[in-house]
Amino acid sequence: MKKFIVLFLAILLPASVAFGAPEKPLKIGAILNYTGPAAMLGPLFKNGIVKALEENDNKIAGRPIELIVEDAAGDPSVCLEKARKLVERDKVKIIIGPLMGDAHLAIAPYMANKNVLITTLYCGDIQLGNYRNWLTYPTTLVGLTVPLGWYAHDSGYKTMVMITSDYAGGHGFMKGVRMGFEQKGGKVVQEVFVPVGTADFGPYHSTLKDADCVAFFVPNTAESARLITQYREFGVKMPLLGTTLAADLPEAVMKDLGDNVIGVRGQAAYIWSRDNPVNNNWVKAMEKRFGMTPGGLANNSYCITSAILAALKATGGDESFDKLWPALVRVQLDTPQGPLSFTPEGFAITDGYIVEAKVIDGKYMWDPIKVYPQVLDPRLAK
Amino acid sequence: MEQFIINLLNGLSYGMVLFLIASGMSVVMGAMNIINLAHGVLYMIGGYVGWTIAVKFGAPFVLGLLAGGLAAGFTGLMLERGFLRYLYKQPNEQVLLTFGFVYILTNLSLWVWGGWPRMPFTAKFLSGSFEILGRAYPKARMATIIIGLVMAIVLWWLQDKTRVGAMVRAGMDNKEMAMGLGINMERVFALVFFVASCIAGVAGVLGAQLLGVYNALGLEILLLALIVIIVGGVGSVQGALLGGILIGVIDAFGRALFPKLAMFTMYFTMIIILLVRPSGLLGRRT
Repeated sequence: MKKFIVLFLAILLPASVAFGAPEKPLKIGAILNYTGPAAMLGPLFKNGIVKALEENDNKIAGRPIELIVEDAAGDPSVCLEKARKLVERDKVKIIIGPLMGDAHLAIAPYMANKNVLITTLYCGDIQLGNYRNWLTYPTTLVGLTVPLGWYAHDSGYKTMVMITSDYAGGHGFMKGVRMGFEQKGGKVVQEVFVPVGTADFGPYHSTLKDADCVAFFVPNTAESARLITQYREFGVKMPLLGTTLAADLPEAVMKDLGDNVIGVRGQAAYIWSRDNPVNNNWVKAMEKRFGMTPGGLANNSYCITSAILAALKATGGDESFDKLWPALVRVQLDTPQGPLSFTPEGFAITDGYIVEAKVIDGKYMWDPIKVYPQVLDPRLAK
Repeated sequence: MEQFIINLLNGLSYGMVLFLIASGMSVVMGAMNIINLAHGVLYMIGGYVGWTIAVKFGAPFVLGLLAGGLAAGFTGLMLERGFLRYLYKQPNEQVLLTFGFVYILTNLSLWVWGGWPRMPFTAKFLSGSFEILGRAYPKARMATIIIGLVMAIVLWWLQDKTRVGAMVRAGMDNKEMAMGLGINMERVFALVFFVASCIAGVAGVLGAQLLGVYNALGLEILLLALIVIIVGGVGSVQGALLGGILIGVIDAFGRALFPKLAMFTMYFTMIIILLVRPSGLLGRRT
């Protein structure tokens, strides 16, 4: 009889764990933009996160995943408020986002204090590495754009004019271009700083010095489009090289820009038309799931989420920071953008692209013309 | 020399857009004592509707101008008849109400047109550039200057030379006396608000030639309009024209000559004007 009871309990107890007490959900927070100047970007980032979660059946190590999305409204103070809500009320230990560099700096001390894993969505400043809880994807601001400086010199350009949006992110991006260009022996002959939100670039275009090329960074779609349109209208003939192009000017917008955009070359973190099996399969799956071709933003959030999920698998679903962080910086994945790994400080190492605006088969698109493999910010490489 | 001419033209074209944005708001403030912070959103609605007609449906640009003006006009009329007419002489309530409409209308536009900005667009015959002193200059900018000047003359004529203009000016000076003389000021105010909103909508389509259209425009444009009104003075078309041109030209030369100080030039101008002439260059002294 005793044997029977022991046998009965041995069968019943695990079953009660499985059926009677469901696994506690693993909460992942995301701070995206649904209102404000970058309102159009929130849904695109969310698509990448959702896809990565769906590939894992929204579960990790048997625990269901609950995604909690908050709107940062493009405002650092709102972002801090939302981060506090996620950490203190929702008790999340992992947050994907925010996007803007000023928001990173606003929430970084709080996040470090709370031991929460946090990520950038589109680059981050090198100083985030000091906190050792930031996953910076696809690399630093400088690391992202340094290939454009190399490419400009490789194309035979010896002198360059730079148009730089006058804020921390703009300075960071263009520092990378300058660093790459000067590393190879090029010379920047003029740097024009333009305020964020510049409506009229005409006065700037009329004062550009003669050089072999003009490199620029201005944030968001509207400003990039205005800069390119007005550059053409004012008949400036120097070759135009842009940063963060595929993200700022997606193909739907390129069509509106028409001939003005054709021939513009520049740097892109990810481009959907890169021909490799991992990327081709992912693009098809994204098109089927969301009805649109994915861009750099969906790729970024997809790769970030995939890396986090891979680390969670390694910890057996334990999201406590002390377990998760070491597992995360050891993750190696083959992603749509290329092979992905991380430095001990949490900076991603992956491929960088140079693209050119073309019309191919009647479609406006960014054509990848050169790949710089496994790019790392030169300051981290030292 | 050619650099000077190019920058002067840049300043004039930008100034004309600023004039058109500010003129309607200035007249509403002067004639009706209404602070309409939703004026920038009316500009944005005009731009979006103009884009829909001229780019999406491929209709002539002039139809886009007309549709943009009317869409903003009727939205403004709804705002005035539905809400603002109950809030005359209540500036705090006006500010809160119209600022609330900034968010409501911006979000509505987000639903209708989505988050992606619309690229600068113009009439086919105005696209491209012409040569001036050996430098390329966009045709659309020159057209903006000419259209802006024509609008300024029409508005000045309406304000100073017509019976309706006289009624508006009478209402500005002494509303009760004007009503005592048999003028239906409520109808006049509704008409003024409608016309001012139409001008904002037309400005939205014209301004789209330079700026494109996007959903943050409502607040960005509002700030510029307020600067122009402060510099030019409240309540007159001439003041808005002078303020718009002055700010536009100073901004263009500031960007070209002192790019690092570009953010401050127009604010610096505003501070100087406020110190020297607190009621603006052509504002009515109180």
